Amino acid sequence: MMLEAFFNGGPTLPFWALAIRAIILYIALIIATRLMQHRQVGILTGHNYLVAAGIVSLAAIRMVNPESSLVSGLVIVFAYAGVNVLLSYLDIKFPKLVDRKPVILMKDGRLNKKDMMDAHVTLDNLMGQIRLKGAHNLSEIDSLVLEPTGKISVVKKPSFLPVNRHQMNLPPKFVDLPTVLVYDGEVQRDNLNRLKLDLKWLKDKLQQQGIADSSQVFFAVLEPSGSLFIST
Amino acid sequence: MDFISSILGTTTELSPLGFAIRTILVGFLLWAEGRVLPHRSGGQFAGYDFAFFWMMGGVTASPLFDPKLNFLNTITIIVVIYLMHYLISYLAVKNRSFAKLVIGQPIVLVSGGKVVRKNMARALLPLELLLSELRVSDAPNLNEVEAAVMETSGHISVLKKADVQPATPTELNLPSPPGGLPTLLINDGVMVKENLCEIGHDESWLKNELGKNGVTQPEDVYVALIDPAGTFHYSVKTES
Repeated sequence: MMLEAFFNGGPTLPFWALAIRAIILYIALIIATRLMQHRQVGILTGHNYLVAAGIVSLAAIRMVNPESSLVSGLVIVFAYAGVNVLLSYLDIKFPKLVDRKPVILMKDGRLNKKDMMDAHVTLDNLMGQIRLKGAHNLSEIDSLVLEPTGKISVVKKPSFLPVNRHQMNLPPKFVDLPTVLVYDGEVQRDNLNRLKLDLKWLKDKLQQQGIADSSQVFFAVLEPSGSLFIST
Repeated sequence: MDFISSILGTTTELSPLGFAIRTILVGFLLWAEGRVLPHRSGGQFAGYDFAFFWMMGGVTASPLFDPKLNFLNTITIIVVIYLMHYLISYLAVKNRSFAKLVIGQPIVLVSGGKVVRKNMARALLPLELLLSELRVSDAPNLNEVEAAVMETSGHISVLKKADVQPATPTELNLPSPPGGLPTLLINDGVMVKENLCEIGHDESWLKNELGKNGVTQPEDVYVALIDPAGTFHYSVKTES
């Protein structure tokens, strides 16, 4: 009887049963967000944000209402996540069918009045959004794009961008992503191997800094310039 | 028949299977709404966008909250909220006074390098939060801030003092290449003809350009772009 009420909902449930139901739904929600991938967390398109707002409220309502069925709640959370993944998948296959297009609000330094009006972006809205992007002067901007996410991206004119190495005629420099070598005392052997380095090399490097053992290192990262960042 | 009406309409009991079918129907709503949603709602430029954003998601999922909630009511509310948002946005772009009323106005928090205490109170913002937002905006030092504005979207924009801004090519008398947005030439193996036309080239030019890089089939290219300075970029599908 009790179990029946626990899974399918009943007029009354003791508080601890509600608590366990909440824990189950919460874990289900975490698994569902993982299944929906990072694009859900980043809320990249229309259906992503509708799902974001929907899935949390439906899980929340099922949590607080003892009369609602837990089984249905779980089925819904995963079916909802599945529908969302399906829409994201369709977005890859048929982009024109799922998502909206970006809108060009400014091109070659000219504001596009018609598209701004169609997208219902006021001039004050636009000024606010470009200030947030650190582009305070319209004359410094080449293009503005209203992205499907609703964010406005700013492309400045090259003469107003910070000077880069190429313009300064500086010699080429090697850049790459840094590689983690020690993570909380644990040596990342895969990363060492990929860089064709060995434990002995790491040990020598650590000893130069007066560290006897890699287990004392909290974080060590090898940067493309060759410098090794170490924090104990 | 009863089953179908229990899915679409109001009922007291609905099985997990019934809810699963409702979820798929909600999926269609998600798709349809995703197509027509106003761009600005996702950008949350103002409070009413924020309300719309979260309300729309909740309403769309509502048939899954309770068996008693039916699709007809849900769709009605979706249409009403959408039209309300449309109406407010429409009036806002047409009439600036109305826009100021519903959207509000940005509030200047730092002016001429000084924090404006009166406006901080108007924006309901404690000093700690201002400092935190400045750090997030890569301006941890108030010394370097000329102006900061609380925008209607709830974020704080920062203008740094001229002396700490990066130098531009103009200031250094250096030449700068043409800039702007790059043009997409190949999208997942398919040539984008209208874009090619726009920059005054044709397919044979693109094939020739790819050939110079040792690519024989445009179908093998995942993405190809050209920037306004004329630099060509491509990634082939098999590249890991």
